[in-house]
Amino acid sequence: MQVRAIGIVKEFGAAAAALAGVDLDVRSGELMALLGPSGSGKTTLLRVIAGLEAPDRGRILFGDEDATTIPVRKRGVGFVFQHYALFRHMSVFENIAFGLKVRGRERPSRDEIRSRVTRLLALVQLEEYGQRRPSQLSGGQRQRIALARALAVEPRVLLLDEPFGALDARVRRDLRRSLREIHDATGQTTIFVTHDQDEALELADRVTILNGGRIEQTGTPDEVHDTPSSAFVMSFVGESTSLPVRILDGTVRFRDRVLGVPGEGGRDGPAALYLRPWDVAFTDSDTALAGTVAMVRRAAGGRRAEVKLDGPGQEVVEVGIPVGRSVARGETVRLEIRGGRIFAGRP
Amino acid sequence: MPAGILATLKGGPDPAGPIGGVTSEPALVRRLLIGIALVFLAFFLVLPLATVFVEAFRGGLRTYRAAFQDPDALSAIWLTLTVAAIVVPLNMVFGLAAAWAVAKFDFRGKSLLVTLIDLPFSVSPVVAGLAFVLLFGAQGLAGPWLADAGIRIIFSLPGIVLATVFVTFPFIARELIPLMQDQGTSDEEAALTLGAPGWRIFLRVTVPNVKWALLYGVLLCNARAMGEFGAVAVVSGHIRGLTNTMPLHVEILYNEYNLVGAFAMASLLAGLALVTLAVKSFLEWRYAGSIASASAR
Ligand SMILES: Nc1ncnc2c1ncn2[C@@H]1O[C@H](COP(=O)(O)OP(=O)(O)O)[C@@H](O)[C@H]1O
Ligand SMILES: [Mg+2]
Repeated sequence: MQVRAIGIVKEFGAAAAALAGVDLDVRSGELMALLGPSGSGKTTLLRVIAGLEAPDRGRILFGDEDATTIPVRKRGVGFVFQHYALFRHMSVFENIAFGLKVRGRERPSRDEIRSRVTRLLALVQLEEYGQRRPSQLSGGQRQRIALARALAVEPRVLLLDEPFGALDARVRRDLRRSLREIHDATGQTTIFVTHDQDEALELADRVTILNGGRIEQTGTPDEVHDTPSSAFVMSFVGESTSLPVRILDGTVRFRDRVLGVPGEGGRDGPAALYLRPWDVAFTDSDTALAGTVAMVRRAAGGRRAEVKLDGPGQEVVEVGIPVGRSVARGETVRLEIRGGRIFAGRP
Repeated sequence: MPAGILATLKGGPDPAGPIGGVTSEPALVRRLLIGIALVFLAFFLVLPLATVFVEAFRGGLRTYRAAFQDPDALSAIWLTLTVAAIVVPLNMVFGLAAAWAVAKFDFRGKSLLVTLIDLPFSVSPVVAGLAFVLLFGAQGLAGPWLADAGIRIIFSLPGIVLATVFVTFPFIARELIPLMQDQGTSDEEAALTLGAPGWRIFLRVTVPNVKWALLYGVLLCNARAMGEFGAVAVVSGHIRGLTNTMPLHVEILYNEYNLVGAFAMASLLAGLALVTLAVKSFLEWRYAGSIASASAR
């Protein structure tokens, strides 16, 4: 089911708008991540889509149907909460069956409910746990049950609010993979919220980046990482450092030194050059930028050196250390800038 | 007092073993403290309670039984049970509604409401009773109007019920509010997204989530409703056989030097309190597991 949000505005009291005009288009069968810092409006957007929150302006469309005024319980969404929200006095089985049992006239038969719950327990790999209470399960198991419970009602869209936020790293990785597998198996249109960029980039078909109640960019993980549309996306997704530069006649200048980076038609004036660790390399050339290694650290993708540039600004850039190169703290190095992205304004 | 109940509730059985392991006080200090607590308990709780029963049975079982043959005594017992049977369900509804409003919604004047819920704890029951007399009594604000309509509140059952509702209102609400606040609204929201209608969510999710706290609140409310003296004394008018509740009847008998009768009635009240306590302890013991999981997520 295609899910669209059009011009959504939501304000809480007098404070700045939690959502200040958001347009989102989630394709049918897609796994979409909403990524953004805390307070950027991710949860609010998800709750507006679910109908748990009414937007001040804007519309929610499910396919071609206007869902804005459909009440939550008729909207056909599955919602997974960060803290599971399992019914603590019911067994795991009863939790999953709840959405089927409250259906009134369309309620399936007992056998039908039983077989559906059993299938869902198998889907989340917890066949043996039907008679347990939620309190007898680990965090990861509880979140799997919450997922099964949300899927039981065959929702038109599955919404997950920081589903792995309360779990430790290992369980998180397992659960991420499960979610991906379940998504691939069911083809369920899914939107999940996270503030963890690794999670979003690894798991999602497309990522929407929110900042201050607005969407900064929507794109595949590669697009948002490699061609960020704003300085915010550049610095929020992936590692980056920035330098204050000046654009003059299509060239990028750092302290009057022309860098080998195209100005990309930017307007003349001050700008910010954002660098990924591999945009900067060590070199032997005497004329290159000089600096001192302030720190060497191990990151997920390799080793990084933080180099403090000589000169008045004492800017710091992060450099990816090639395998086999040894770098020591305090060492004087020369750097060559090979790439990077220019954004207007100062860093 | 209600918060204390919840604290014991959450504590449940202590898996860490004896407390001595974590405290560092020398044995002497520990024994001294325990000793003081025990002496205090014995002197102020056990001794008076025992006296009540000893006095009640002083004339033997036959006189004890005879004390309850008196029609006035029977009517006092009946009235007290009636009042409790009306007040407890009422306060269950009020308590649930107030706790629901405070815990699940944000609105202006919320902290005022929370303060007001505590009012009956801080106002002397006699003052509360007087307030009702001033409102509904013959010379009261609504007095003439009520007289015209032929409704009698003061010196009759409605007045006693009103006064008792007022005095016992906080017990259930106070028990529920912290728990409901702690639990938040996501269980209800989950049920909503799963398609459950509102009344079903209330009965199948909200109430089960707070059932132990609710039960404790009901037990405490019931105990107090049966035992309330001050507020009821003001509004009841002490009409023997009509508006005398058990505590009032105890006082009347005592003032008439009918000690056996007074203590017999008092022993019944005390017995009811003890039963309440026993039921509460039994439930705590029997359902320790689910109570612990009710407070954990
Ligand atoms: N119920 C609410 N009442 C008042 N303000 C809220 C409420 N929910 C969210 N907000 C505000 O809206 C903004 C966005 O919140 P939220 O959507 O929870 O962000 P995120 O999930 O990205 O951390 C925040 O500034 C938050 O304080
Ligand atoms: Mg959030």
